[in-house]
Amino acid sequence: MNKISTRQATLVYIVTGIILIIFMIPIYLILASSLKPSADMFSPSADGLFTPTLQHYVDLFTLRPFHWNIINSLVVTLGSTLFSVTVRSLGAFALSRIRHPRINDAAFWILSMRMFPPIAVVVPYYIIFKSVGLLDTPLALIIVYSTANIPLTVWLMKGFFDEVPEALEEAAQVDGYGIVEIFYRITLPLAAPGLAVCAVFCFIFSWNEFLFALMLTGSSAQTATVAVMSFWSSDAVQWGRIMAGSFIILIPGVIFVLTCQKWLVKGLTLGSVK
Amino acid sequence: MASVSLSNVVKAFGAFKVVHGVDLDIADGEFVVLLGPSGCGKTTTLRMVAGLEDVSGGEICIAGEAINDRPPKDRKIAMVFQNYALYPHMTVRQNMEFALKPQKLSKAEVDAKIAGVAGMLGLDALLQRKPAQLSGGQRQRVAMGRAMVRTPEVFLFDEPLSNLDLKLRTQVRMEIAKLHKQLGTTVIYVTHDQVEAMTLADKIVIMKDGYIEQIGSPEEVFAHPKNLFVATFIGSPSMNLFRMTVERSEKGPVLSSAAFTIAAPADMNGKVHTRPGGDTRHPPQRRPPCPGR
Amino acid sequence: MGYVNRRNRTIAGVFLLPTVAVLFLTTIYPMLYALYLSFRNYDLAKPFIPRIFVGFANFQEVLTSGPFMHSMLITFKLMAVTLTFQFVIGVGLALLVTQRLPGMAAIRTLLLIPMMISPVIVGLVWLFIYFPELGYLNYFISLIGINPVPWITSTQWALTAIAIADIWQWTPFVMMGTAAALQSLSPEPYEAALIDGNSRIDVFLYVTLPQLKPVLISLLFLRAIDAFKIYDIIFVLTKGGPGDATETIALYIYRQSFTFWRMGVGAAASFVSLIIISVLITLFFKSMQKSAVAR
Repeated sequence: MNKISTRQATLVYIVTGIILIIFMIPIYLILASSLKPSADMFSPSADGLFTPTLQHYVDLFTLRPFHWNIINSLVVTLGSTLFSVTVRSLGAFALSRIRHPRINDAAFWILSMRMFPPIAVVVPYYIIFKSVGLLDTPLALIIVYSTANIPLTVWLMKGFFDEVPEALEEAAQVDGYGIVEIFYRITLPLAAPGLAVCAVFCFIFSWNEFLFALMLTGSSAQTATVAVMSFWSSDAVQWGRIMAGSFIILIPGVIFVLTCQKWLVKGLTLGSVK
Repeated sequence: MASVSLSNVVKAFGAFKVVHGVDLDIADGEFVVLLGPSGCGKTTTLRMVAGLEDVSGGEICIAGEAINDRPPKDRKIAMVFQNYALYPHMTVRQNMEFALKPQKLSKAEVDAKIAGVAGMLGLDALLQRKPAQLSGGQRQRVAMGRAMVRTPEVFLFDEPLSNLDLKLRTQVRMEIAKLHKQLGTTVIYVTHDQVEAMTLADKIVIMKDGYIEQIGSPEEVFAHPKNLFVATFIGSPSMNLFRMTVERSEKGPVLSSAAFTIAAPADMNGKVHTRPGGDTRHPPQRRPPCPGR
Repeated sequence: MGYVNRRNRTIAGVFLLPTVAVLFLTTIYPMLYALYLSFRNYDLAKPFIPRIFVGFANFQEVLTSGPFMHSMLITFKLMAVTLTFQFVIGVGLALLVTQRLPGMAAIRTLLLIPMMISPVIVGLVWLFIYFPELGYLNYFISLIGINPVPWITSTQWALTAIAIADIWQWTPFVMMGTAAALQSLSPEPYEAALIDGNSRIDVFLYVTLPQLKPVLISLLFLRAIDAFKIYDIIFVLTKGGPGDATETIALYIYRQSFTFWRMGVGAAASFVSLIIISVLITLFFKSMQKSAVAR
């Protein structure tokens, strides 16, 4: 990009600033409303003047079993992340290393799984889990989430494995190591940062997911996102609690954005942007 | 120590042949350089010897045993890679230990081997460092050290000096020559740099487009190139070529161009026939043996 | 068979198999099951009616009845509107935030936050903003003298309201992808244009845009596929209503399956939408492969 004058710079700042403010308003509202006394909830004129209160957060954990929802979310999220990363790192390594004219087709086939609408499989999942008694258990969600973002992470990991020079593996091969040993002694340690990023992706996906969680859980395995939604439909609308719960749920995603921006680009665009 | 022989070795990717029936005999302890422009099949040939590529046809023998289907580890070889392929997450010592581990030696043996090689290559001070903390020349030496600790029967080098600057290259080249003299191990060395080839090789194999153009000692390929490709490829500045016409004169056949006329070489006598309008063969010109050697 | 070849087979067996197995068990099998359901009279509300084979009756109902076609129309309408705005704003924003000015990197990061938020939360906060009578949006437009708008309770505005929330969440995605592509462009053509004295608009149209094209196509398809699947935000804001004003394909399937408990019809609708999305996939692959070749 070429250089721009001070006047143009000012203009850029003003326009970007306005857009930034517009985009940040909803996030501000989540935080502000979670701290507002219920009486001030819908009075924009009170913004900046209200006395912040942690009452909604307290309610969340005393009047509602939100900690259980968070624990459910964590169990499901960590379980599916661990499972996903294990299976996918193997699959991605294979896709990255096999030299075969049709291997790209396999890779694209796996990629295409991303495109199936989740709602299309929710019915069979529901019936299958119902018949084997897994409905309303964390295990059901762990299984579902383990597939849900296979395309994303397999492709992302394939990219990381592609970056590990094959000569290193060949050197180990000449030294007399088998493929499995090479994988966990050489390739995996070198691709570890990438795997961590994939793990975070899986984590955020499972943590944020709503559709499957809604359909496949009842009260006992209810996750945080579903719980927050249920505050809306049950009793009087508790906006303070909804926003407090929302704020807690959005924390991991925000941390991810602030720390791993570079990987976000790669992951979410499936590597189509370098 | 071991001899290596390739007979009619072919490498094809699908219908596309990159190495066309290579025949090559390497004696025990010989230093053989595969030389040629990029894409000539020299690296592929080396990788087939290493077992990193499958052989599509023909046979490769090391120490008299066919090893086509053996995994690299059972071929008694060690390889120095172009980019060194040092494990970045291990120290120099760990790199060497890792290379030795499959041989299941005792701790004392491993230490002795590493100490020996480190001493020979001057790596003692570097053993605790990781590859990222080494200079290019040091990495190169570590890569050689890692290959040497395994005491292989055949050393394979894949353009080992191409990532070094000119001065270092000359220096490391000397070291490699010295090491070969010291160890006497068979070496197959791939390069596109003819200076390396001329100074290191007992025998140079010149390749082009997957065919061997000439096999010979540095003197032979320099002074007696077998064909035009070798003639122009070897030597810097490269050999002058003239398009000559064979003519009859009272002193027998002569070669003449617009600028000058010379007597045809004696061995052409009686063999040259001019054909009106046809092509005229231009034999490579001789030059005196390389003065530097 | 050579050693390297054998080794490849080992890799395929040991490494690829688990992924394929998981994909089969958790994706292919449920899909086959859905296919089975789509040919059955599977009605959970009437458990005593046998789940008999009904041939293409479910498909016939889906394809010939108004509601499914209507949901398709809604889906594509929503897709067209959201994608247009996301790309216009997103690319514009990318051009702004890639200017080499202090603070731009921080602004870029902040702008990425919306897309990492759970769609339910996005739905809820926009519900709060749109809230009838009391919502923030109506408050602000009343400040500039516009009458309150029944954002999510009128058939006229509900789809717009959903579009705005979706645009808010996903414009950052387009911005992010475009900005990354812009930053990877070589500066030389720009320096050449600067020396030649081309106008900024010309530089954008003839230098920048053609180079961005492969990335923009990829982003477009990724967005289109997600837009086709849009579900959570609508579920929170309108549940497809009022009436069927915001009933997208996903919402149609949801209603058939979980409101009317007609699993067979829901499954049949799923398959019809799968076929539609497969066409999208094919187009996506072609463009991916073409741009891969171009690169």
